[in-house]
Amino acid sequence: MSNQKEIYNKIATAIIQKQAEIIGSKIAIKKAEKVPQLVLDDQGEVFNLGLDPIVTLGNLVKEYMQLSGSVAINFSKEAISNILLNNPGIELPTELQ
Amino acid sequence: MFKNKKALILSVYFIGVVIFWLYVYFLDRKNLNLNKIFYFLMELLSFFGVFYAGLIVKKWGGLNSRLGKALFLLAISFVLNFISSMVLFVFPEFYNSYPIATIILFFFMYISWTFSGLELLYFSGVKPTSLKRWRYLIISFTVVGIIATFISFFQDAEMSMIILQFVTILSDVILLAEFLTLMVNFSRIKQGTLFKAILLFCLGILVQLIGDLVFAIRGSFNLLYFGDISYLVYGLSWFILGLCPAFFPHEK
Repeated sequence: MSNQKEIYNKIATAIIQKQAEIIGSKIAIKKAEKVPQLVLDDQGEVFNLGLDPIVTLGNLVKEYMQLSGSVAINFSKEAISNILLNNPGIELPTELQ
Repeated sequence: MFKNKKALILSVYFIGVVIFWLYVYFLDRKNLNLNKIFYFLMELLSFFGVFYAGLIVKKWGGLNSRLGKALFLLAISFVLNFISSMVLFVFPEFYNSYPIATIILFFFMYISWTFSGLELLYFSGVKPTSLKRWRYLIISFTVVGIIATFISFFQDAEMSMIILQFVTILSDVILLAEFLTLMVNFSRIKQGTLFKAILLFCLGILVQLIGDLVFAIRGSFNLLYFGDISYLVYGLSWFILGLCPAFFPHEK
C-alpha cells in the first residue's frame, strides 16, 4: 500500500515537473498548492496525496487544464509514461486514462 | 484578466497611445511632421510590448520554460523592431548608405518572432518531435540566408539585399504556417485561460502578414510613401502583439 502511495507521489511529481518545463516552476508549484490534500515542497516534489490519491491526481490535472486547456492532459500523459511502463496495473483518474 | 491592477493601468495607457496614434494618422496624411509623430507613437507600442513582456517573463519561468522563452523572444522582436525602425526614422542617411544593416534587424525580428510562435505551438498540442523539425527548418534557413547574404554583400550589395528580402519572405511563410497550425489545432481542443493571450499573438501575426502583403503590393505599384496605409496595418499588428503579454492570466 505504501509502495503504491509512493508511485502516486512520483506520478504527481512528474506532472508538476513537466508543467514547470512548460509554464515555469513558480506557476506550476502555485497551481499544485491549490489542490486540496496535495503536499509538496518548494522544488515541486510531492510527499502526500491524501486519502484518495486518484481523486487528488485528477484534481491536479484539472488545475493545469484551467490554464492550458485539454492539452494539459497530453503533457501529463507524456510526463508519466515511463512510470506507467514500470507499473502497468496502477489505477488512474479518468483524465489520465 | 484585469484582476491585475498593473495590467489594467498599463493597458489603459497603451490604448490611450493607440487612440492618439490613430488620431494623428487620420489628421493629415501629407504632413511629414505629423507622420513622424505617428511613427514615434507606433514605436511606443513596441516599447509597451517589451516592457510588459519583461515584467512577466520571470514569473512564467524565464528561459527555463517554454512560455517564458516565448515571452522573451517576443520581447526581443519588439526591441529589434524598435531599433530598426528608429534607424529608419531618425537616421535615414545611415539607412540610405547601409540599407542592409536595417533590413537585417527586421529579418532577425521575424526570426525571433517565428521562434516565439514555435514555443507557443506547443500549447496547441503539436508533438515535440514535429516542433523539433520546425526548429531545425527555421535554424537552417536562417543560417543559410545569413551566410548567403554576407558572402554576396562583399561582391554585389544589391544581390545581398535580394537574398535578404527572399529569406524574410520565407520567414513570413513560416509565420503563416504557424498561424494556421495554431488556429486549426486550437479549434479542436478545449481551451484554458492562456488561450486569450495566444489568440492575440495569432491575430498579431495575421495583421502583420496583411501589412507585409499591402506593403509589397503598394511597393510594386510605386504607391508606397512614408506613413501610408501599410504603416497603419503594421501599427495595428504591434498594437495587438504589444497587448498580448497583458492578456496572460494573472496567477496569484
